[in-house]
Amino acid sequence: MIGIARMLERGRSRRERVRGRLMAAGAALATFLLCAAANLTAFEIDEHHDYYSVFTDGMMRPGTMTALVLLTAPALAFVYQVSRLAAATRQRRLAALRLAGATPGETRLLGAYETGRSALLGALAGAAVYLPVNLAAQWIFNERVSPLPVPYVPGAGSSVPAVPLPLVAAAIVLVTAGGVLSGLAAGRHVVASPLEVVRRARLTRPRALDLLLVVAGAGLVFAGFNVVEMDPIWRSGVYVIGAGACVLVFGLVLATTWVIRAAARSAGRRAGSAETLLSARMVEADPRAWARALSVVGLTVFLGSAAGWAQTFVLFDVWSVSTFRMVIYVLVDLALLGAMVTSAAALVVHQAEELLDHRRSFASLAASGVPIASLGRVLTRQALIAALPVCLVAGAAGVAALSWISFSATPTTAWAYVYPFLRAAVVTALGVAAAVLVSRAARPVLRRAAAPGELRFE
Amino acid sequence: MLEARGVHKAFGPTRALRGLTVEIGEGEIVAVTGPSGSGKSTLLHCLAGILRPETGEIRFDGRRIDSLGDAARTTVRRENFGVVFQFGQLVPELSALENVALPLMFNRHGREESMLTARSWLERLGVEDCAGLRPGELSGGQAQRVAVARALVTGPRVVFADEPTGALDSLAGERVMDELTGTARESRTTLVIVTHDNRVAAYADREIVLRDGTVASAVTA
Amino acid sequence: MSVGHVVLGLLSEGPRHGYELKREHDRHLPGARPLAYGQVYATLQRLQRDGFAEVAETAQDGGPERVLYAITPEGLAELARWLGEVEAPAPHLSGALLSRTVLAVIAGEAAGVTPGDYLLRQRAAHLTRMRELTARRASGSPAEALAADYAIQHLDADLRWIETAMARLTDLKEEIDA
Ligand SMILES: Nc1ncnc2c1ncn2[C@@H]1O[C@H](COP(=O)(O)OP(=O)(O)OP(=O)(O)O)[C@@H](O)[C@H]1O
Ligand SMILES: [Mg+2]
Repeated sequence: MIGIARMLERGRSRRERVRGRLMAAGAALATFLLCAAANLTAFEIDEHHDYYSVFTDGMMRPGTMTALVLLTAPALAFVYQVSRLAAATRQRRLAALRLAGATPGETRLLGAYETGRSALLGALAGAAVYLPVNLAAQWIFNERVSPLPVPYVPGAGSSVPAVPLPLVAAAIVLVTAGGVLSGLAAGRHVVASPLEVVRRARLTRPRALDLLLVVAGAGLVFAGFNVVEMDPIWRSGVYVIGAGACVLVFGLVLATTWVIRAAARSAGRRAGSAETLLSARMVEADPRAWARALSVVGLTVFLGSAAGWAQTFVLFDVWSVSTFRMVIYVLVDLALLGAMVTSAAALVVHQAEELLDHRRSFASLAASGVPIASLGRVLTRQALIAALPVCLVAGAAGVAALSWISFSATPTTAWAYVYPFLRAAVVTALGVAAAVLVSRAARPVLRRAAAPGELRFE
Repeated sequence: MLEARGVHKAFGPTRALRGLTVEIGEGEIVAVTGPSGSGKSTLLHCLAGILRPETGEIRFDGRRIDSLGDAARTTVRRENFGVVFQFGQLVPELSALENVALPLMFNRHGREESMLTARSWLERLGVEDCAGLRPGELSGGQAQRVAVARALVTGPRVVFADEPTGALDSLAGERVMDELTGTARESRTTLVIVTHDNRVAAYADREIVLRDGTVASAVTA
Repeated sequence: MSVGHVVLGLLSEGPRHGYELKREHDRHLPGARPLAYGQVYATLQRLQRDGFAEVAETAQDGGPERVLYAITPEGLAELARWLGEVEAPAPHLSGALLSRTVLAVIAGEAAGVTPGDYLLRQRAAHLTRMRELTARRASGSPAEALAADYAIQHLDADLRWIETAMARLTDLKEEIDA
């Protein structure tokens, strides 16, 4: 089997190579973040510092590590989207294999092999980039050759320890396994028969599992708060709450499938232009794929608007303003922005996959004189129709989730209450804007999908 | 009305058209036949302004369209041409009715008006019962008749059809060809049909036989 | 297939006069060669002799004698037997197209005719006929459409043969010249 996979690999097209590289890039990013988190476990200092507390403060580090681990989610989601796209385009090779006697399971293994291989290469690259970064940091901070304001660490030998290599290896294994799994999972959506490859009828309706995720997430959060009380030293409750919140929001976003469908349906009914009609119907036909593609964007919007409450009390003088807090907030926002960009990239891949399914009908529309620009608007409106409900739900949930903070403080000005809502609105708008903007990035794919060559039957 | 003069078109090393010259009159129904790979589809795409030949000229109404830019050629196609392909041209998520209304709506006609016109075309082609169905729920013959309706709905002056019955059995194919040629004759629409089926070619007034990218013979009724 | 069986088939619908049989034959089989009156009566006589048909009634009101023919039980049995058989595929090719093509290759040079040209002209002639039939099919009755279909499919077979023949001309010429 591996032999066959190798043989097929040599015959890969340029586009397939590009997809392999994209997968590797996602895996590299995920590994880099995991390595950074692993590095933090080796830190021993427990000092407050205005700029570096996220690393030096023993209380803060678990939070930082959680954030880094969470940031791998958009990267891995990106890998999964690309491997879905790859599964859809591996078609012809797989059909040939089935004709040659391979079982459906074997063709899926092939997908897992290809994705796993890209993920392994990416993971190795990510680790290879992290190690020199770690060495450089050690050199700069520990040898004090830099004019940077370095944390003063009395008594400690080094402020930046070496990253524990066993954990790096674990990260590589983890990311590679993630790649293999996503390759296997992506293969489920394509059925390769000897004669052709058909896309399996996809599940497009909300599932009970989504609600289960919501309930499980809420339960975890609740349990987490209790654990925090019981275990003040290791603060394991924080992790439980973090994980619970993620599961909760993921479930919520997946449950937005029906919101997306309702929005698309009403947009389709009222559509006056061909572009809106087409995009609304396309979203309506597959709201679940959009919900999935948008889930990480939704998560980011949720966290972004939830963070507004914490900020408001600092900004409006309830809690004391400190450099330390400002640094934290800026870091959180930067992380969220990064997550949004990465997850938006997964959206482009989703649209590319969709275009692949539509290349004949789009090519024939283009042939009959529909400008590519009009078809481009179809992509943009799809993103708008799908992203708007998801971001609204996530933004509103974010504001609502942390509103209990407002009961524990008595701000001096009413603006303190307005700010979180303003911020939630801005973050929601950013989420929608990101989705719409990246849909423009799918235009080169559109141009290729609508080329007359796609009208030739193979 | 539509003419190609000394047209050459190559895809890499493959010379699909080699100095080909044809002329098609207003309201004419022309069949383009020839063996597989003789350049029929390529000729159709060049005539329809979808592909640009390397040398030679394509004229529509005496105006050169091969030298026009992409946007201008798109406009020419939208205002004057309709296309029918072998299969898969309908948007799977739209109903048959919406598929037919789509070109009108892309031409900035109102939704209500477009749907009304589309419905009348479905009736004309005998598939009004399918109006609410998605392409996946149509038979091949019904889908092709919906595709014909979509090609004709904007009142084009030329309709280009590439193997319009290629995926159908002979009775369904006959139905599609009857409707396509019947409505084309009624509205004096020029029709260019690429086919390798003689029975389809027999619907045309004239046949252009291609061989190795040039015209082997032109047979007129 | 014999005219006798066709006449028996028409009689199975009920007793008919000779001229009615001719008219129905031409209506049901519009593409076939029309029946001559003489042929109808000769056939009826043969059927009577074999016991497959009989005279049901003879009327003579001033004009010529008008005889009404009917099918007998033996005739019905014979009809059933015939419909139960299949038409035997022709054992020998009697294609004029084939002979002309081969001869155009053998004698084309002497006669100043190129076989390729002949095939192209033949193709044009076939296609012209096919066009007529296609037009007639669209406007005609179901029986005419069925007959036109029959003719069109046969012409199509010829046309496809012509296309392969064109591709084989060089090989054939080599074989003949060798
Ligand atoms: N987009 C393309 N890329 C590469 N080669 C092409 C392309 N389009 C056409 N060709 C080549 O040009 C030649 C003519 O192709 P064309 O599709 O016009 O043939 P055709 O007469 O329509 O054949 P068929 O009856 O099989 O559809 C073929 O050799 C084909 O391989
Ligand atoms: Mg073709």
